[in-house]
Amino acid sequence: MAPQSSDDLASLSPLLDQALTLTGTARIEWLDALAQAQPEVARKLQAVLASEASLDARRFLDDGPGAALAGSAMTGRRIGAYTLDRPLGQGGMGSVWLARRSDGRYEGVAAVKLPHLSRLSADGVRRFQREGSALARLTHPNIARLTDAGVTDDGQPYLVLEYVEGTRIDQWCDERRLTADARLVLFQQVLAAVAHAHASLLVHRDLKPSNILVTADGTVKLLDFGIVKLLETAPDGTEIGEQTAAGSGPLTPEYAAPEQVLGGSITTATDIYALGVLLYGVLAGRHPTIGDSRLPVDVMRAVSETQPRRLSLSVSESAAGARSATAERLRRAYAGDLDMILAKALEKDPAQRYDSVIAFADDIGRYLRHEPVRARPASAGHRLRKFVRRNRAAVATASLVAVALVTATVITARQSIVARTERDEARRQRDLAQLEERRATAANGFLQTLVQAVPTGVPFTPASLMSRARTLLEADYASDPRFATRMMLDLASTFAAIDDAANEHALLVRASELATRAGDRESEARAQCGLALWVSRDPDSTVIATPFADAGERAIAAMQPPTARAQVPCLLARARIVGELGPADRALTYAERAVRIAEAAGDTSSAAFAALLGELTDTYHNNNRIRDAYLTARRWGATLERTGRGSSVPMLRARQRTATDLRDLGEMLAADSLLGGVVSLARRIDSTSIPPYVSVLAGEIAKGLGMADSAIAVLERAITDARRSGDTFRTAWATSQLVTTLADDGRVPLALVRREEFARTGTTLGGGVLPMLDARIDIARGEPARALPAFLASLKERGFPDGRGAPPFHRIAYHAARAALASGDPRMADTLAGHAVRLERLMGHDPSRSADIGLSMLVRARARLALGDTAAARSALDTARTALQHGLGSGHVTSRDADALARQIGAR
Amino acid sequence: MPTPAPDSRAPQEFVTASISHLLRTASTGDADAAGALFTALYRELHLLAERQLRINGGNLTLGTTTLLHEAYLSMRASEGDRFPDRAHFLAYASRAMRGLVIDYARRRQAKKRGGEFHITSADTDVPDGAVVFDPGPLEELSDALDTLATADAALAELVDLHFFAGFSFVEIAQLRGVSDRTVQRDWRKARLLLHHTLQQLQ
Repeated sequence: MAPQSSDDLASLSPLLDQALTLTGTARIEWLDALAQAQPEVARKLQAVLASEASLDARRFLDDGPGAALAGSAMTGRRIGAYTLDRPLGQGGMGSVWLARRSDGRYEGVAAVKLPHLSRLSADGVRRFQREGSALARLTHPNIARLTDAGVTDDGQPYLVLEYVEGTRIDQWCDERRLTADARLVLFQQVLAAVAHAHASLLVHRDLKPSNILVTADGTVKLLDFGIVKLLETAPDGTEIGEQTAAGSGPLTPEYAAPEQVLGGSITTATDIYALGVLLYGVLAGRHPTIGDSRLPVDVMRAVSETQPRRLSLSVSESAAGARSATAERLRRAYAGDLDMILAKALEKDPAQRYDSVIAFADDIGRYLRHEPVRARPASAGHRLRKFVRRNRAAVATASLVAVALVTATVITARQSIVARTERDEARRQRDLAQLEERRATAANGFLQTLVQAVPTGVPFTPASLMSRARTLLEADYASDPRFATRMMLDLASTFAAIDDAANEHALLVRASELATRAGDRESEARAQCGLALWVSRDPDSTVIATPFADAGERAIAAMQPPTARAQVPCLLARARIVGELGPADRALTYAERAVRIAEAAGDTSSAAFAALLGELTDTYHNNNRIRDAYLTARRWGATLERTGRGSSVPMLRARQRTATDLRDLGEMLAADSLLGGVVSLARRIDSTSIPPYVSVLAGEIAKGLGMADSAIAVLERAITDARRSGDTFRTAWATSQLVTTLADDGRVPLALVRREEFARTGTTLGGGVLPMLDARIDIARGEPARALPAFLASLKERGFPDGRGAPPFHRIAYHAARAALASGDPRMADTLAGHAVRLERLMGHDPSRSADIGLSMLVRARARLALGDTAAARSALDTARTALQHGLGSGHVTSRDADALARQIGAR
Repeated sequence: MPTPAPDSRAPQEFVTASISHLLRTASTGDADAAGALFTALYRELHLLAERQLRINGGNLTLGTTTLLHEAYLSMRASEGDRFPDRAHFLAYASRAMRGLVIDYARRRQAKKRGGEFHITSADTDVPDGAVVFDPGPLEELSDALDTLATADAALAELVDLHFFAGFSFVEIAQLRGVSDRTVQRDWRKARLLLHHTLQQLQ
């Protein structure tokens, strides 16, 4: 014994523990890190680990010496009425012998199974015999009969079974190069046998190819029915679990259902899963979930977590060859119904599988007779819940979603083909087209829901999923360009929802090509106007968008009659273009018309309609019709809620817009009460970060409510977040808000620092903002006279008092009024504040609820007081106090100022 | 090597000491007690095996697990309630079983060469094609196990329990009060370290 060697072992032991918990690349990375720190130790550890696979393959130490020692002594031994002849096989569970009748009365041979069981009490013996005889009553042409079971005098349990001379089902099929249909016909025998046993309340639990033999005449024989259970339970009722973890070494539950691996209850659904795995193997020549790794931990994960690969995607050339087909033909044969049948049998959740083996067999029968199958993927809602659940756990499950996606689209494809062939019938033509359309919309509504529900910032990337979907469309639907084009257009809007402009654009271009080639006017219009919308997302490129919108409108003009699906995006594109290039009020005409057309077409429940309301919200907002924007944003949110998108990213935007519009209406308290919901929704969608458009709003509202410290903290955070996400507009906007918050709070030096920062990075907001910030800092420094000219210049630049202005326009008038008052010009202050109130009312401010009106009226009251008109001041102050109380609350410092002023005026 | 405790007795005294006493003393790390315990257990198992042989009229299945359980039951019956728990007993007995298995293989080898044959009866021949056990690799394995035991006794014990005594992982998990998964992971580790040690010994 070499002591050095054992020291070695002691030092390697803890490291080996760690290494064995890791697999694949994780282990490689870990070993690399170790090699950096302790090269010598890492080298030794690698040498030890290197033999792992070969030890598995050799089953090193898996079979104890006892089995081999025992086996040799058994030949010629009498078991019941039989004499053991020769061993047929040996495994972890025991040995199987070919045996002959000892009494010579019959010429029978049988298979005798001798399980390694050693703890049978007298009770156990009786139980074994009792249950054995129950099994013996199970007679079916496709089940190998159990003729006897018992325990020998020396305690060896045994089972006497019908001896089947046959070949494993998968080998049998491959040797004969059976076609897929012939395999399915053969498999019906397997299903019939299992169905019969289930009717006798027997579950097999260990269905696998080696338990399913086919005799020379093509009869299927199932072995070991019910035996697993017989062997599994020890006499005292404790589970021995020989079949999973007996002395046969590592667990390899290739045919086990997830509930077997995870320790759930075993039911007939367990057999249905195993049958699914079997059929999958028979049809595709591979396992639905287990990959190359045979490490128990990987296999366990594959069984319990990995979603099965779609059958038609698992076809290899060699597998196709063994089925006398080309891979392409086989894929086509499997795509659709068989994909779904297998997906149904292989559901992880037992309750989602076929209800019975008979239902499973029935669907295969339907497939063989070319009738529609009953298997349907679980409802979209169910899939979605599952999907969201998985994402919350931050598990990368692209494959799951791909399966969900694929099954959803497959149905539509088949149905659209059916619809197409029947379309020739003139009377039904339009009805069917509409039906097809509704189905396509349903499928894509699902896709959109799916992707929009994907929280951002999780390991799984929606983009990769959508890219798969795109590849799928190009590959599988080339034969139906109209359908493929529509799917692509929907997919493009889904890409838009996740801000993947490059893929959105590529799809729109491809859809436009396909539509033009197929003469599909509707899709052509949608694609062209989609491109117009895509281009116009960058305001500077709006001019370029015009030709696309023109092309879309030409396509619409050629339609008899034009459909809403074509008109809506084109009107929207026009609204966007006009909104940017002017006249802006025309944009409202277009956007409102788009909504009316969609409503008339009855399309008020789709994601597209919700997006349309979002666009209308923006258009109202940009036209400074804030009240209308607010009402539309609420309708937008309600539509999302109604259509099951209550927890989606668009919903977050809708609620954020509702709160923003309330803030822009000066209703700070109401905005603040919505804010909590917005933030918690944002957290639900992504627990790790809050989008900048939410945190900026939170900062602004805090500022408005006079909570300078928290406003500053939130805005600082918003700037960091916005900068990190590359959102330069919101970085600049939040910085400008921070400057004014600091200035208003009297922290001039800090405001100056942030002002410098803004001067460097804030150009995206346009050149007009910086002078306004300087003016606000001047006021904070007590130099209102310097600020006033800047405010006035800015107002003039914007066409004050008549021009069309952006939302902050009225605020400039208000700040100008304050500056005028502070620099001793109350008349000008009164006039400017009056303009501010006028503008606010135009925007839709409610005079009894708007803090902005309250602030403006407070300036007016002070100005009028300075002018000596106490009565006018009092009247202004009344309005101001009501508005401030509802807009900011009676505890707000400005409300208290107003109250103090009221007392002062009253005192006079 | 632990220092003998002041009250330690000479090894020969252990031969007659009760198994339960030996088990308790060996558990304190007393190497002499452990040696005596193995000798006693070996003798017990051997007797049991021979008795089975007689009952079966010459046909013996060396069911190691059965043998160990029977040994436990018979010893507990003769030594009373103070007999240590089954897990404890089986761990030591499995180590003894290793010796028995290796001896069995040696004798079998000897019989093939015309020598003495103890356990199986003379009229049962080794059938054609059946596995003949070469004791050589088993002896090497046993040496490697001893080395492993100095580094990690529990791992070596696991190999005795599973490989030599034939307990399933589930049974071992129950004996040890841990999960199957833990036993399987330990098993993978034990196998790797044993293989490594075997390579070094060669």
